[in-house]
Amino acid sequence: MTVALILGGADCVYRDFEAALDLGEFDGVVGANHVGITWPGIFDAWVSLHPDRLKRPWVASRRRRGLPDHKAVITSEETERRFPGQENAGSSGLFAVKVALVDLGFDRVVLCGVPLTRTAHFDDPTDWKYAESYHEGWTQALPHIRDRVRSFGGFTQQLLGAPDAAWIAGDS
Amino acid sequence: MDLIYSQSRHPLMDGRQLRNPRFFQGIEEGVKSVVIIGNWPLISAAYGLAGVRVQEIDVTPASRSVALPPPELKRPVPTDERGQVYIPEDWVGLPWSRPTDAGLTLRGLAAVFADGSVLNKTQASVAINEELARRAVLGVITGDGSGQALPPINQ
Repeated sequence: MTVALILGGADCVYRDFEAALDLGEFDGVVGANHVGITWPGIFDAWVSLHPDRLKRPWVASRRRRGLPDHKAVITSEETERRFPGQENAGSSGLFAVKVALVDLGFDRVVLCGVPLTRTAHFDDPTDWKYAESYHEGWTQALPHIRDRVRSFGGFTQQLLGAPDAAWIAGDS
Repeated sequence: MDLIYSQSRHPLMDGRQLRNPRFFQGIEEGVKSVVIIGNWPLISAAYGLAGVRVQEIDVTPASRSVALPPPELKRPVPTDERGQVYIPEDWVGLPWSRPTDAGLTLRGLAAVFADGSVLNKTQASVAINEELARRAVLGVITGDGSGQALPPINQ
């Protein structure tokens, strides 16, 4: 069984990442949007629903910092943006989940910095006022993610539950 | 070169080149100091990590709570200093993430030698074995830690 980490843009992303590695081992990382610009490691995929931004300014910004390219760049131009039956958008965070589970074939994922709450981004102190507008998309995707996704906080944790060491190890 | 990031004219702009923070795409070469007007934590962090002196003006307290990469993520130990880091002979038996009495973990030790983040024991072993191989080539002292300049790493 393989487990990936999903890195989102909430201000808890680094804290969640550390908490995840305290719980267990992981087989890969998928990052969504801005966090891929400055993340020192290499993602299995850097994803976004904003292909015009990711493929040009964000990739260029990462290279200017002298950081290595991520293994893959996947946007809504390369793959389906939603799970089957998901009618509403779920933000780039849910798109990252879809890429990790469907396109990359990971068995389970743990969300870091993807609370989907009206809180700050790691690089922007203002609250994300559109968070709730994406909740319906996550609810619609539940048949695909209920047993395979856990989150460290916020709405997504209420919806999917929190990870623990046994779940990450595949023992539950 | 001294820069000021501001969206409007400011008394501190004399002698500094003006940049609009909305269009920030990364740090510029040759910058000695930066003045940032307003809440632009990403710009502040980027120049700060590059060792450039940063002065923030009119920053609200909320912006100072913005998260930044933890030290082990943003500042890997330089290659020429890695040889001084103690690697115990029984490093293979270290716990992955929950420290024992000495506080040493496989994850924490490997993070010193990896340029990116270490996600599992396999990656940790690769990073540590590469460091041991590098030391063998260079003749760096290993084993009981004698002659090591740095103490074991606590996580």
